[in-house]
Amino acid sequence: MAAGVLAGDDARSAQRRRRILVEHIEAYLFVFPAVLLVGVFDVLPSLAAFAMSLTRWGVIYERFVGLDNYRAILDPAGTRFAEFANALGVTVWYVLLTVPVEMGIALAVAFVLYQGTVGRGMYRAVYFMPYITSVVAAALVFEWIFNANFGFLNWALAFVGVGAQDWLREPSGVFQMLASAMGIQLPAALAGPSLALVAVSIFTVWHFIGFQTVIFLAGLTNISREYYEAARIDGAGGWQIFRRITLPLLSPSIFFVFIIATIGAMRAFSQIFVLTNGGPLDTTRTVSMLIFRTFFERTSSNGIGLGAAMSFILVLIVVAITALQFRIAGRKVFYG
Amino acid sequence: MRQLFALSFAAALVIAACGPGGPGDQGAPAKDTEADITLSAPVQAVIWHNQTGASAKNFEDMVAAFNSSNGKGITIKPEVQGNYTQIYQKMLGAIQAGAMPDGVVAVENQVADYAKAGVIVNIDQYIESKKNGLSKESLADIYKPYIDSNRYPQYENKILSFPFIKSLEVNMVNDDLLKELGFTAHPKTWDDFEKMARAAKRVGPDGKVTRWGWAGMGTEAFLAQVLTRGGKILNADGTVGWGGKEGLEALKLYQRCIEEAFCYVPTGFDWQDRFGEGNLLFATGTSTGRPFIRAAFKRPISWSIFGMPTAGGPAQTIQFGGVIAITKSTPERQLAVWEFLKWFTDTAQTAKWSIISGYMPTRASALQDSALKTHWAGPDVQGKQAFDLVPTSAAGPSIRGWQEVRDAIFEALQKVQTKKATPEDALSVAVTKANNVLKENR
Amino acid sequence: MSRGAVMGSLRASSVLKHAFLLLGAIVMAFPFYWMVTTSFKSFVEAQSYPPTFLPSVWHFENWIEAWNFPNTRWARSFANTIFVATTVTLGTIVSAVLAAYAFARMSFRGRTALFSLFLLTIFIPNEATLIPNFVLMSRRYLGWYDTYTAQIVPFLASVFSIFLLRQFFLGIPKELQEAARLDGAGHLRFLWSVALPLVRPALVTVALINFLASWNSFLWPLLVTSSPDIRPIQVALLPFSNEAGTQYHLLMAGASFVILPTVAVYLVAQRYFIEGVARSGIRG
Repeated sequence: MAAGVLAGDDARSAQRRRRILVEHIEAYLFVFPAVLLVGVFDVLPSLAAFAMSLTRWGVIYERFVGLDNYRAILDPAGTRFAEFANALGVTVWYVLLTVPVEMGIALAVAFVLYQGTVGRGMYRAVYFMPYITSVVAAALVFEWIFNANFGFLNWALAFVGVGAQDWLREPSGVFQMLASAMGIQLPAALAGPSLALVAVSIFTVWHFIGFQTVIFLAGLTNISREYYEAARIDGAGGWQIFRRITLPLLSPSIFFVFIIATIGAMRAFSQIFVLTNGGPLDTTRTVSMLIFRTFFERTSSNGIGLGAAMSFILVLIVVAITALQFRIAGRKVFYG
Repeated sequence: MRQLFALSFAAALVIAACGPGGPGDQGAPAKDTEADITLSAPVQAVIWHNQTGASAKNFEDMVAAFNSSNGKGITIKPEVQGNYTQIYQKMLGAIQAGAMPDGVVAVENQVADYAKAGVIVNIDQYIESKKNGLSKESLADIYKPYIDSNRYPQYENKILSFPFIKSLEVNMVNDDLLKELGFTAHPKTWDDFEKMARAAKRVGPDGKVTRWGWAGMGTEAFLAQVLTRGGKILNADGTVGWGGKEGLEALKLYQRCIEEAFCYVPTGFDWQDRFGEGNLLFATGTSTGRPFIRAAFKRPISWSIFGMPTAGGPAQTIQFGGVIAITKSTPERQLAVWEFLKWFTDTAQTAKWSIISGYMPTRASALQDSALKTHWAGPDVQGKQAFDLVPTSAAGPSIRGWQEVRDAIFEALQKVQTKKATPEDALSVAVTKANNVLKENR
Repeated sequence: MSRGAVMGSLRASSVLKHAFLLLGAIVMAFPFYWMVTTSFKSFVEAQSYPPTFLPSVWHFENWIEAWNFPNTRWARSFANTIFVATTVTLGTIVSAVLAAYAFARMSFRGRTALFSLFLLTIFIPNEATLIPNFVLMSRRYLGWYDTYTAQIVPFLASVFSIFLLRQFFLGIPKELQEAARLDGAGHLRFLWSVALPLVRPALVTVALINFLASWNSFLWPLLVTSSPDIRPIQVALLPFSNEAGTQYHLLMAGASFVILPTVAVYLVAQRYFIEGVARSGIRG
């Protein structure tokens, strides 16, 4: 009897083992194409890039230098510290100028659309349209609109009394410009992001707002009407309903958009490349732009070694920020 | 631990695989025979170039003419790869990957980078080759500045590239406007130049400037001013030579021009439109812009091209443009590219190319070409005016890192233009930057 | 408050709402209008100030000139782009669906480690891996330089798509899978007939995102191709400017060629696009 049970156990566990084995083989087959492709075209090149970051590599490989490149970039006395620090500052401004603005406008538009308007489908379609256009081609059109000497924007602003601006080539900080228009002189530290960076941000907001609007709109549509009715019976006002019900219930969408937009902004390249190429005076040279320039325009001065090192410093920063977002904001997200 | 091992292994693998060879690989002079071979079988060679639009079509037509007429079985395949920067970026990848074209259009400091990678051939041996080279007379016929820019001081002054498309930094003037302002001749000194440019400024009823004196203060214009004020581009010790009073005077002129608003600050090529409207007196820029300027004319304007004014220095200007380097491939393909270069820069071809492209011919004998004579006498007088400046032109140095030096100059100009720094401060920052770069690339 | 006053304030707020939305819509659509109208202006008018809202003379021939611009082969480039983008989209969906399903619904050793490694690659800047990837294409390794393969294969797996689809597969109730197993259906059967129909909106999103990314990619095809015959449309915009001048009106015509097809496809299918994207955000 006991032997029989044991034999049955054996048989069952053998069967289980086989099932696990089969499941494993099946699972590995499922992930195989992706693993192969990601391994060859993402992981392997990343390792290679990391290896490059430990070398002096101008136009060709010169020698192994250990962490010298990282030192040149991160050590305040290092030769590349100033430009990297500047690029980090520009990147932070770019994130601040795009992410909150995009999210704020998108939320407002989504909210108005949600309340039911005639032509909602049409509005939604128009707002989403920029998202599907090529960044390179659309940025070429904006270059035209921003043009200082015959651009449409300056012409339109002239009607509201704003003087002509050199949108894409003005390195002055916008706070400083506003202050000096009112006759106040600001210290250089408070000058703010350059007008050129603001112009690039305007393009970015234009391009991505539709995507966010649509996601917010879907999030709003998903909130059950019962919550609103209950709140109204309790006598809650419009603003209270928005703060206490809409926002918490929308928080997963907001969090999703927040993460995607931040990563996107920290890695932005094409729009800056076309509109300003990092200028004027490096005021739009984000870390991505600096990496590209170091790799492909400053190649002979150890560009490949330094560029690779900068890339991995950027990776660490983006990973750290994303983790921080998950820790801080992630906790407040309400998953019904 | 295992992962760490895998990682370092992968790293070692990549490093071993990527480096095509140590620096200085090209030191050993190639055997005489390499340039002296005879082509016995058909050979095809690819050239990456930067000609776009109508120029690309014209260039391809010329290549087709060469392919059908060379009698040596050579077929050149031209491929457009974007502008200089984009070609350079492609070459960087191609060098690591070992997938280069046989000939590549570049500017000189890029060629110096390729030389460092050891991937291009020494052209001296082709020029001097008894069998396939250039005769003494033929070599002397090519303008000296055009040959000189292809000698690389970091590589024993060897000729590592050959002239392809050549432009000059020139001044353009609206002669009608000049006359209207009461001036009878083109300015000979920078002071005269400034006086005339200032006089051209006109302000509309709303206080906006509607007519300007000058546009086009760029890096080349700055260097040309340094030369004509008696300065140097590079000192003998390898540091930059434009950091003294000559460079400062040039920046100060620009500063006055901006502050008094007689300078038009273009956002691209829109100065051509202001010129075409008759609202711009002087423009400094590339001699190859001639067709674009004519296209922008709203009414006929009589205009001309003239050389740089001076202030204590010689009458000189900067010449620039594309050269072609020959990459190391097979002796046959290398020779094929050389044969093409020889043909392309020969009298008849360079004259023809000059007519259809607007670039400067490379040889003095091109002047005897009847078609070019007719062209320059009639529709393109300004082409001849620019051409007359070639003998006194000088190229920027053919050294590694020069592009970064140009960036530093550009930054100084931008600071002055946007009033971010005084000419003194802007210049001293640029000099420090440029000298650091040059030191790193020595 | 009287009924009339309520209606009045309702109407007022509705007018305000429309004004807000309409202004926004004009801003969003204006660049498209500007691109198309500029493409029909003359060289001089395109750069005149004050700008003109409509061409004073309609130069329809600009489009023909831009289409026949030397060194551009638009028809060929379009065919190339459509071929590459379609193949990439289909391939990515297959690889992503399989991997995402395995990560979400199958248990196997190394699952978490592998998935974390995948996620990490999202953070590596493209600029950093450009040169190693280029080397990989060379004759010494894969020999894909200047081929369609080089434009397609590296993009057949998308970590972001796997991530997105995995979220959706996670949301399928366990009971469904149990029931399917009792019916004797294996993973592949369950995936095909139950899971996939449930995540259709996510599939649309993944398809859209990958198609657009492929359609709009510029730097990589520029680097890995050299013959005009296999180059995509984004690269076809290159020849429109040179060192002495840019023909903006023609450039705008070229930009129209690049942008308008996506806009047309979008306008026809926008409902699916938007719905797909919309649903992907709900789960976060």
